[in-house]
Amino acid sequence: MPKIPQRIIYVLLACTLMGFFLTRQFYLQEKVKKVTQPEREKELALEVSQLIKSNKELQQQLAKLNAQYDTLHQKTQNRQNAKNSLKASIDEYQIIVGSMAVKGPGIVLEANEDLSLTQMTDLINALKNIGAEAIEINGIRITPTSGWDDDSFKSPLFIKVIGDSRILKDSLERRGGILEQIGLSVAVKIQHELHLVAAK
Amino acid sequence: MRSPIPYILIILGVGIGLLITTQWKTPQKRSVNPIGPFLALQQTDRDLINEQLTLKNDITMAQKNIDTETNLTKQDAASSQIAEQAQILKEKVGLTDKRGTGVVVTLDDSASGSGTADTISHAADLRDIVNVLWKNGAQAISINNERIIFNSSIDCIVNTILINNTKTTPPYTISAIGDSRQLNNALRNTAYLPEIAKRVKSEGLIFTVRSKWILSIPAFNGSFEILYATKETG
Repeated sequence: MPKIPQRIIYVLLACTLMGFFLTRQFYLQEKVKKVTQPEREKELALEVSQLIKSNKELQQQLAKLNAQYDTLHQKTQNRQNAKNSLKASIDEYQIIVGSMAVKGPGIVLEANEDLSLTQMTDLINALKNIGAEAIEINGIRITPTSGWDDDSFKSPLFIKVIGDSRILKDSLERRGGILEQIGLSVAVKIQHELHLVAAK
Repeated sequence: MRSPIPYILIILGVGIGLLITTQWKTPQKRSVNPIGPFLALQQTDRDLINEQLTLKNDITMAQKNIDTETNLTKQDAASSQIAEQAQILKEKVGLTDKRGTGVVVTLDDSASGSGTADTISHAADLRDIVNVLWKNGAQAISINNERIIFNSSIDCIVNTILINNTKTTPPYTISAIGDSRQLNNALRNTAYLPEIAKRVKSEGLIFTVRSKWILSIPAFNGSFEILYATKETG
């Protein structure tokens, strides 16, 4: 194998080194140029400026919408509360006026004799006094404006009363109580759940 | 002939020197050139874009919330129906003043003679009068301004009469709104109130009936509570 002169090797090394530096310099310049192009920077600055402006407007819009929502929500909340309260009142009023069928604990009175008009008036008055919340006589619901005459209720009498069953029973049956006053000897039965019809 | 190698090496040496200088100087430029701020600008741009996305999402959500609330507001028509229904029922229960035509009944103890069971007015008399009025279509009744409601009882407590837990004494003024002619006729019919009619005639019990074009009956002003009765469901 012929011997390569030493100086040729130096030249080769020097050329390789130079080639490496040249290539590296080229890529570095390209990279710097790429990120520092003044046009690109200008565009980006403009974009950032627009974004800042746009985001500020969006924040204002969001704040406005949130305020609008808060106002609406507050109103709705108040309305909802008022509505719920009204619905509860309606339920109570419907029970009172007898427009709805109702259920609840209470007592039942069964009698096989006719009551005179005044006896019936006194009995119903006493039931109200004792705390009857709903009364039904022979399938007819007694309402706040119910009136009756001698022919309204005939025996056998089947009277259902919703209220505090223990108080109703004790008050009716006590000595000198309304049953004794009107001379009606019937058993008062406690019922855990009575079902009363709506008024017609 | 002289060798060209030294010349080539000189040229290469100068070239490499120049390249090393350039290479060495380039990184120095980075610390003073706009790359740092540029990158920061790029980061700001990205942050702002992300912030914009978040804001837009938040706005969409806020819009949806507003739509939901607005829909609830639109249901106000239903609310007003509920309020109207409540008002009608409230009137029926007796929780509002009522005006209209009707009758005014006065019941009082007899002015003459000694005080016997037949000469004085009783709770039972009032109960009978109220029943006749309801039976003949009365829409609202009050006794001495106490509105008669669903649980009003009329009871005698020693020398007074208790209505809605309020003591009252004679004379008793019973006001009733309804068809005044029908109410008047019913009250004057001795068959409906035979006991009162008998004592008026024999003992001078005071019982008068007057028709009224305009009559005002106050609302019930006490309290009541429904504890046991509940609406049937289904």
